[in-house]
Amino acid sequence: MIKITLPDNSVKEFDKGITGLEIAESISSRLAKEVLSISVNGEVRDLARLIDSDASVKLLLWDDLQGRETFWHSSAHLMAEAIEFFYPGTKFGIGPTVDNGFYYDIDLPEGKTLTDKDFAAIEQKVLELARTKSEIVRSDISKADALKLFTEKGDQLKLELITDLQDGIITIYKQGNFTDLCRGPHLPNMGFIKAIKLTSIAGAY
Amino acid sequence: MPEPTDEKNKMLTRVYGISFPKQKLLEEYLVLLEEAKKRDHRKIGKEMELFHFSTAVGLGLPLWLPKGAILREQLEKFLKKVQKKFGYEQVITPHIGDVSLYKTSGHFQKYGKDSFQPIRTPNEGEEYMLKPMNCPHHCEIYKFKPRSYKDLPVRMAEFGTVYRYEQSGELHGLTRVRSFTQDDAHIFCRPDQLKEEFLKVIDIIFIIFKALDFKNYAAQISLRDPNNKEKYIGSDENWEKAERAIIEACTEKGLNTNTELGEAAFYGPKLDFMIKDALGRSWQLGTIQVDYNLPERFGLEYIGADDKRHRPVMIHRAPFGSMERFVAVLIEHTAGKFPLWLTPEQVVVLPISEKYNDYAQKVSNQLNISDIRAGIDDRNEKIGRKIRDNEMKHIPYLLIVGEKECESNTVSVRRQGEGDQGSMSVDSFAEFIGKEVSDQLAEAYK
Repeated sequence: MIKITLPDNSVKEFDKGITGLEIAESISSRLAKEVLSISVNGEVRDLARLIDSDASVKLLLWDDLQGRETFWHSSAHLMAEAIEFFYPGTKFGIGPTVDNGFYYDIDLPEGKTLTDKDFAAIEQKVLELARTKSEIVRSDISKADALKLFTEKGDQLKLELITDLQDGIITIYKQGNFTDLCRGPHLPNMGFIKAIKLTSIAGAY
Repeated sequence: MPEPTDEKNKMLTRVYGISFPKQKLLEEYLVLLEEAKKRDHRKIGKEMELFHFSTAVGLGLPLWLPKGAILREQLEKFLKKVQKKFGYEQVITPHIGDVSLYKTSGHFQKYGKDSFQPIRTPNEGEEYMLKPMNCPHHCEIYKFKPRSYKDLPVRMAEFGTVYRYEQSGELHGLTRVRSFTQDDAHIFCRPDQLKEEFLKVIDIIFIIFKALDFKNYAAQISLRDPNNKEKYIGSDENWEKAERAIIEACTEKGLNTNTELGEAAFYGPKLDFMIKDALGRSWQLGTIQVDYNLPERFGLEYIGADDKRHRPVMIHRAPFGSMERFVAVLIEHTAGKFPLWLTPEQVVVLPISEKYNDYAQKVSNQLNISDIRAGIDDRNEKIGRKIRDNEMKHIPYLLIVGEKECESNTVSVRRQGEGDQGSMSVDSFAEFIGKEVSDQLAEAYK
């Protein structure tokens, strides 16, 4: 058994290998529906990751900044999937969260442009993809496998990023037809996203 | 933008978005965004003729227009009065200082390379810097005579203009500029006086929040990293004392705080105030910063009760942050509807027709003599139009004058948002509005 300390300092015992979602379920089914991610000893993680030792945890909701960040981070990935649908061959740079939302740096295929006139179609596609509630799956792969994966995709940007990485193990996240190099954390599935608005577009190096 | 040189520097497209777990939250956000656009201080600043930026003068160098200057002057007057009550003394220092002064303070090392470059003089080797901070000058004022423990605390205040070369991409309206005026003060005190001084500065900040209707605020206490103590200047004992003083002062004042370990500057712990504006957006305003470094660098001393030399502690504090940033936040918070005591134009006199322009001028002059900020609208427009236009400009009081008013030496009073208030003699109106202003301020000082 491991001891899980909740923010109100109450301690619950669970089997080793419990997940964040299971902790939420043990408290209330409503919480389990609304929880977005979990902070384990100060580190924000996916709800599906196993907790193997005693820990202080906080279940993160929309009202928590870190919960919103998880939400927006997954939203960035879903937006990327929608953009890839309309512009196959697009390369993806970084997709972090900002104070109010998120962005993704993209490299469109030769001759293609994206303007704010395309926003509505992308937003519609995001919502359509969200309704399929595709699961967001984390996996750890070796640097060699990562290089292979993104060489196959022909994604020069990602290859550069991976080459610069020190870690032996590289984390990728996959949902539906979209895979990206990412440290996470992410939502359990894309079904949480019920509304999206693309707000602006800019050049970036 | 520069031409891309290689694949790594290739231009990418950055797509921004925001998403929500409920459609309703998105709708609320869009309303907020629309409202924020309307409250953009750059837009309102232009409409109300408060400030202006001219590329001929230079990027990030604000020009305060007459009405903006009044606004700023009122804020300064208000704070000066509060500070006087709390034992501050005003000082005035030049806008430049010898480069060696900033080498002593360490600011040259921090700002020298990336900021405005030193000014040369006809004298070979003589160099001055535009001041990036007011503290070195104030340290020199502290040093001009010997200080005893009985003289402390010394509280030195100055609305000091400083110059920092922000990158052009970072400049934004009045919130990021290259020249700005800090409502600066430095408190030189004994270590045992820190808590008392913190309590007093917090009181000043509360008075400001009250006078300007900031109801929603919190503070962050930044302490040192307890596992990395050698990173910080100053004795262990003093740090503990100072950190305890800040924490206790906040508790005594019932401040809503969060504490961040490792966020303190290397030279001392600090307390930052964050306010939420009318749209729920957070802004960082004033800071209270303890400093063990500058007293050391400048060799500041006082003679203690033991007749020995001691180092005073320095507190930097600026409740507004800077006049520029504060005015920007205030505009976005109030959408330009400033409280009566602060608003640049409190009264506009509207003559019904040209025939009453002289009388309107007389009324306006009389009010101005009584320290009420009044103007007249003598445009050749219908009275309805004049009322509408001036209400749009958020003028708190409109005084309509025609034949009846002219003959009886009265004015017809309209209050913004409340409409017709009936007629009054000019004297009683002056008294009435004067009382409203002093009541507003008295409420804040309470």
